[in-house]
Amino acid sequence: MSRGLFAWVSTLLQVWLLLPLAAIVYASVATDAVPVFPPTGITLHWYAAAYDVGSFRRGLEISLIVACLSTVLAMPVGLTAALALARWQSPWRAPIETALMAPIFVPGLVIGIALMMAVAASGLDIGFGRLILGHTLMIFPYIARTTYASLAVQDASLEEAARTMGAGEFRIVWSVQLPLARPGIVAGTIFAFIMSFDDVPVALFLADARTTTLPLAVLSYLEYNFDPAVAAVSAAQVIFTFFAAVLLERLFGLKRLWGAGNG
Amino acid sequence: MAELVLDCITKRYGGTAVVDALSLSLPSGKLLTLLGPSGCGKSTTLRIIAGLTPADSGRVHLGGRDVTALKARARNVGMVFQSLALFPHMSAADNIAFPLRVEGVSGRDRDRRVGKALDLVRMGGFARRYPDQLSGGQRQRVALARAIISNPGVLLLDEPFSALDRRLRDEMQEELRSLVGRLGITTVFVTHDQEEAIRLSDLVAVMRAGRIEQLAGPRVVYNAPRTPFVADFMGSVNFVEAEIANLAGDQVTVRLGQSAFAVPRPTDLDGAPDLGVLINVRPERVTLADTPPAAGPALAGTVTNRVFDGAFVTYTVRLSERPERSWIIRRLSSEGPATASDAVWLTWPADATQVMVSHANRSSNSR
Amino acid sequence: MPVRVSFLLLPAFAVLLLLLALPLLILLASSVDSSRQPGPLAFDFTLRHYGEVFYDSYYLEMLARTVKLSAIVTALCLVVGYVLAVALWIAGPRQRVYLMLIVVAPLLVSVVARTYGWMLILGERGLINTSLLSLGLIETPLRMLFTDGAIVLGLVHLLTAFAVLSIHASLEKIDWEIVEAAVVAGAGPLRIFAAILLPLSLPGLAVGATLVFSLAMSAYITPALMGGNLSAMATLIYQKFMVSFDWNGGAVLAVVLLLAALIGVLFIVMVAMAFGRPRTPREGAA
Repeated sequence: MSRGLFAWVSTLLQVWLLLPLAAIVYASVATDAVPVFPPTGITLHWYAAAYDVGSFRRGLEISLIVACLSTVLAMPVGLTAALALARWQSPWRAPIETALMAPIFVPGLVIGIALMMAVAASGLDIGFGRLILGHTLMIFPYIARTTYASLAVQDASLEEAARTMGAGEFRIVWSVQLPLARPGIVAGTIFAFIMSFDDVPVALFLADARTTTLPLAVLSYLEYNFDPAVAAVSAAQVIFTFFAAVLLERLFGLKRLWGAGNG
Repeated sequence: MAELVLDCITKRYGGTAVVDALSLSLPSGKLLTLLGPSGCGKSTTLRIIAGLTPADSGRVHLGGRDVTALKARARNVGMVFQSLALFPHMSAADNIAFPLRVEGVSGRDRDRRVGKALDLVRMGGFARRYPDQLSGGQRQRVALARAIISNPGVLLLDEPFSALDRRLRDEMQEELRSLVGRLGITTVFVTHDQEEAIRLSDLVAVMRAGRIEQLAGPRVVYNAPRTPFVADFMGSVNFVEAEIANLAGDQVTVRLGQSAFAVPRPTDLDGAPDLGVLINVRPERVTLADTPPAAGPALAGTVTNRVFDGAFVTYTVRLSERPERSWIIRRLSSEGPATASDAVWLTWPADATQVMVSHANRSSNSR
Repeated sequence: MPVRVSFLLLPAFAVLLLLLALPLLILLASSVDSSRQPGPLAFDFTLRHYGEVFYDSYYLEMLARTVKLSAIVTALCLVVGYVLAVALWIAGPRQRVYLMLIVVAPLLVSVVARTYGWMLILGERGLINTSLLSLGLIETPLRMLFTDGAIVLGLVHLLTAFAVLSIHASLEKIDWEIVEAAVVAGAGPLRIFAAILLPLSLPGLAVGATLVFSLAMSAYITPALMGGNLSAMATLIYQKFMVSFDWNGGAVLAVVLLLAALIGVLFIVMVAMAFGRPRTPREGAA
């Protein structure tokens, strides 16, 4: 394959990756109820229409609550795990790291089913809590991973220097390590929030009629309707995610978030 | 006939010329070292010869052929990289066979040539080992064998020995020298180590800021540096200002304080009498005495430091006339203490004096 | 010190144990317990649920179909992923940021939005059909959605990022001078790919393949939305649980799917090791 051909193929693939996202944004601002090219006109009408769909408004509210609560719950879990990993010089560190990342690699389908069955078997009615617990499990590894990655590159002599100045363990963590790991913590938190906000696979099993998140609301709306109100909701999400992704890249590097072969 | 000719090569990154109108010609079978501090353009020059980096302007001729337009893969050069760049997933033999495979040399012929190359670098018993099962020196040999297996028009080496410890480096230098000599391959070697350059080379090109400061045999570059930069880079750090008293034929008479002496005239020294010059003397040529010498060059000074480093004692002497300049004098430690007091006289054979035009490089004294 | 460290691990392990390990165990137990789910376990071993499910060959056919689709998706992801990973590898620092954003974009957008985007393009009244109709190139709309092709397209689009990231992680470890050494030796792009890059990025390919395969096996929203009736195993599991409320059957199918995915992953690892260099690698796994 020559260099020119390679560049062409690579560009084509990039266009293909962006194609559905571009189609969403396109449909959301085109006047036509059924997307045609070229559009008859440009309008923001569909955004207003989307706002008028009650289930979307309610879904957005629930998604925000669920994402916030599960992120708040996942933060201490992820942070303590990262601190433990960063401080532990032991042959057990690698297997523990792998175990901590398990929720990332277990398919959402399985997490959803298993938790649903477990809650049913426990006989407890925890309502809203079911979905929040599921998301906490699903997202805490991202916070742990980014924080750990930030801690791991810190100069160990800083910790030692603080120790020689008489700082206790807690002060070392609180005044030295965590402030320096802030980019990783912030990136992990944003990413965890997005993962919870976007989630469908886990929520499908754990949400109930009272906790229909925005993606679920869109999903059920799509069963009976196919109008650009959905495009407007989705486009808003695409645009929001785009800025979040730029921020994540700045803060931490997107590549490291998924950490295929993180070092 | 010159095997490798570079004609006015220029390469710029951003606004700065990394290689600046550089020309040189290297006769067939000779070993040239590009010597200079980091950032002087020596590695870039090597990569331009290999075709890995395109030059902005200028021509590269290999074996009488203009190869400027040829891609790296078509130039038939052999190259040993700084990291060695052995293929980690191939055995030593497969690494060495790779260029032959690319050429389409088949089966038995290939095995025979690989075997011969392995023997040549004394690696006969290690054919099946992988790079991470070889020692540093063994990896060097494999890289060298891979670079010469397809009879390249020119062999290029980019600081290949810089990661080795001193003893191994000496050994590898010896081996490279004899291998290249036996095979008669035209070779360009890049290094920042002046000792290495002197040991290896038929020709040394001392580079600075993308240009060649001096291109000559190692003895000449060492003993007769033409610029303060070259002198300094070759470890000759003793400079002092002097004046030309007389220019006559191929002799120059230099006036230095009270003394005046005649030295051979450098080819690039033109100028009127009373021209300010800089003279340079190698540390090992200077002797110390308690009293001024009867004749010849002489400088008064004060010993400010003595360091014993085994075979040598190194003295630091601040010059009385020019206290801003200190000279380094290296004497055999077996000679015993050179002087009784710290107030000394420095002297040296007149022909050990290098005369340079002083305005050329006032700024190059720092290293 | 170690005492304090293990104390720090407590919250995470509590979460993993209570919310992941225990539920997985209950899932597994439900598939071999005589109780009717949902409800308390009877702790009475039976394979009855497996018998009920596999009495009908439909589920085995569905499993085979899911494995086949996942294999195709994996193969395509590796090809597409390799091209993009190389592009990412050779890109300049600025270009690399854009490329990275493009590659992970499908992962960051919810599956509903992403699938809806494909429906806009491929649907009966989607952009392709309306354009072709208005140009007079076709008389009736093409059927692109609700085909196996659509499922594969949707999944490859979603999962390519995992292949790209894994392969790129491997490529990044290759010293660029190694490529230059091959160039100087006279090798062209194809040979550099086949003789140098491919064998050296095998670990990344293997990691990417296992990730993509297991995620493809368990994907169910993309197949459900883009495949219509032609869905996949995971979609059936969803229906078992949420439509026909047969939790035991659902648990059986989930366990079977997990096992199939595991076997597939092991198969990929074995293939990768067979093609790897014939000796124990010294460097640690990625």
